[in-house]
Amino acid sequence: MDDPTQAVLVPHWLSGPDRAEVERAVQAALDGAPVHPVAAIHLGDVLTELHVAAAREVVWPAPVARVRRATGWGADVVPVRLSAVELASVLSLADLAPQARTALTGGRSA
Amino acid sequence: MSEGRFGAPAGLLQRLVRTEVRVGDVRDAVEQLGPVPAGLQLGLEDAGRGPLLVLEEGGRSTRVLLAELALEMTRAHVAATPDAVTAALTSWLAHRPVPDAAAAEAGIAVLDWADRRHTELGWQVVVVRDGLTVPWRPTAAATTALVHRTRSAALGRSFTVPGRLRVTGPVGVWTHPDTPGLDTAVLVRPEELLREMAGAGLRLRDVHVVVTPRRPVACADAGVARRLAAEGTEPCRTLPWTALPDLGWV
Repeated sequence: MDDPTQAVLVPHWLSGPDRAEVERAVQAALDGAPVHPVAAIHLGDVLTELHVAAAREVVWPAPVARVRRATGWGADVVPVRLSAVELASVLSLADLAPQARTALTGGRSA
Repeated sequence: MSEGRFGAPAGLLQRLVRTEVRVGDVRDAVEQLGPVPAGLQLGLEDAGRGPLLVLEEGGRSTRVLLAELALEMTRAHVAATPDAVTAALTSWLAHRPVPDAAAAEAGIAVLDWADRRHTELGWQVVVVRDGLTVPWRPTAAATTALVHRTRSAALGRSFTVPGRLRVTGPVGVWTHPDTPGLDTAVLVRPEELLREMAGAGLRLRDVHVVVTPRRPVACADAGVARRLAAEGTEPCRTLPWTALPDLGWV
């Protein structure tokens, strides 16, 4: 199985509304119809990452602030680090709003 | 952004337009400096290798060549203007060495890097001065007994240092409410932190702590802590909760 702590985590720069939408869509999927157990683990890891991204912002704000200054991105844009399978698990959600999908697939992704 | 010994890092323009701070600029700044903190005496002496700035405070004496200060200011991209050099000197003075007596009276224990490579942590006595946490290095005159007493008293003070808990999903982040740099002091009372986190709804089974000295402290289960620290651009150390009592002194 893909261990999120071993897999390469790629930063996706998401705004506050984008992150709220990803969280909503993932939570709705987990709360809705039965999800394959492996997919549920990946989706759970995505929820964890959304929280961890917020914690990183409190502990180490300086590196992200430098990127924001250089790019002109808003103060609510933070890197959400996802493995390939975690990203795929989010993109597989038909319910995910187009704007958040774009942010994850193109947008500001590094 | 972190503060250097000469104040906030220079802006891009100042880094591009580099100017040289000269001994005369530093001497002028010393001579025109306003009131200095109580108990601190500043003087200029001429030694064989050039003029020296002499600091005397609480039995601690520090001597530094003005040429050395000027060179360090130039390297730190301080502009060679009276205002900028005075501001840099004021910042440097705020970072001056802590007298043994001041550490004994007001020292607080926090975690700091124990090695140059930033891989090991240890406790360090610091004193808060002008909102900065300045580390204490014992003078040559400090006896072993004094060092032990000072460290012990600093640990005791850390027990009373407040911490503000912010829970974000499976992570608890502890921050000092007022003074950046004192955040890690809360780690002297791990059991209380566990209780407070449980009270806030964060029940952890295999608690790990992610520490970057002078930054807020994150607590989480092992896997989440590894994720938090993974691929970070700033050095940090992840420790199991049980390793905290084994940390030595820097």
